[in-house]
Amino acid sequence: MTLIVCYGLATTAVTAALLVVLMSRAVYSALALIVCFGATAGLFFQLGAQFIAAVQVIVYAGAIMVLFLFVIMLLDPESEVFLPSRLKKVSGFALAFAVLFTLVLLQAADRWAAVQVLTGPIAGTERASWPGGEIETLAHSLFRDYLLPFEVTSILILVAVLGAVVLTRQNHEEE
Amino acid sequence: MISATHYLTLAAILFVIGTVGVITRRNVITMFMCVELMLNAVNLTFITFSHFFEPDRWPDLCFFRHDGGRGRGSCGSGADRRPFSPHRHS
Repeated sequence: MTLIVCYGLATTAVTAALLVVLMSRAVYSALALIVCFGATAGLFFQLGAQFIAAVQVIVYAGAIMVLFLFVIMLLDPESEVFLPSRLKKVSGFALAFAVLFTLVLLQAADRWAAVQVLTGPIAGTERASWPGGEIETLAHSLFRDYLLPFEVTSILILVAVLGAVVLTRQNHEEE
Repeated sequence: MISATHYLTLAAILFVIGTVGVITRRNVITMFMCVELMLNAVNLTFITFSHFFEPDRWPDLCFFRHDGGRGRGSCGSGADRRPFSPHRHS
C-alpha cells in the first residue's frame, strides 16, 4: 500500500513537473506546479516530516502560488514573446541530462560500493518520537541552535522587499 | 521496499526538469517557477537524508528554504514588473 501510494505520488510529481516546463502558458504552468507541490507534500508526509508537509501546502500551494498567479494575471507575461534559440534549447537539454546521468551514476556507484545504509527500510514507525512533541523540538532547534541563521533569513526577506520596491519605483521614474 | 535511493533519484529527476525549464524557457515567471521546482527537489533530498540518516532530528534546513522562497517570490514580483510595464503604458 505504501509502495503504491509512494509511486503514485512520485509519478504525479514528475508528470506535473514536466507539465510546468512544457506548458506554453504561464497560468497552466502555475497550476501544474501546485499539483507538483501537493504530490511532494505527500512524499514529505510519508517520510515522517508531517509539519513540513503542512507548511509546504500552506506556504507554497497557498501563499507563493497565489502570488505567482497574481503576478501572471496582473502582468500578462504572454504579451512578451521570446522564441528560444534552437542552440540554447539543445544545449539546455544536453546539459540537464548530463547532470541527471551524473546524479544517477553517482547513486548507482554508491550502491555498488555497498553503502547499505542507503537502502534501509522506510516506515513511519521507525522514526524516534520526540520528547515534548515535534513542534516543540523544532522550535528548540530553530530558535536556540539555529537562531542566527534564522534571523539572517529575515534580513534576506527585508532585502528582497526593498529590492522589489526599488525596482518598481525606478520604473515609475522612467515613465 | 522504498529506499533512500528511490527518493534521491526522484529528487534528481525533479531537479533536472527544473534545470531544463530554467535554461529553455524565456518567460521570467516560468523561469521562477522552475527554480521553485529545483528548490523543491533539494528539499526532498534534505528530508530524505534527515529521515534515513538522522531519524531523531528535524530537518531544520528545510525551513530556510521556505523563508528564501518567500523573499524571492516577493522580489520576483517586483522584478517581473520591470520589463512589461513600459509596453503596457505606452
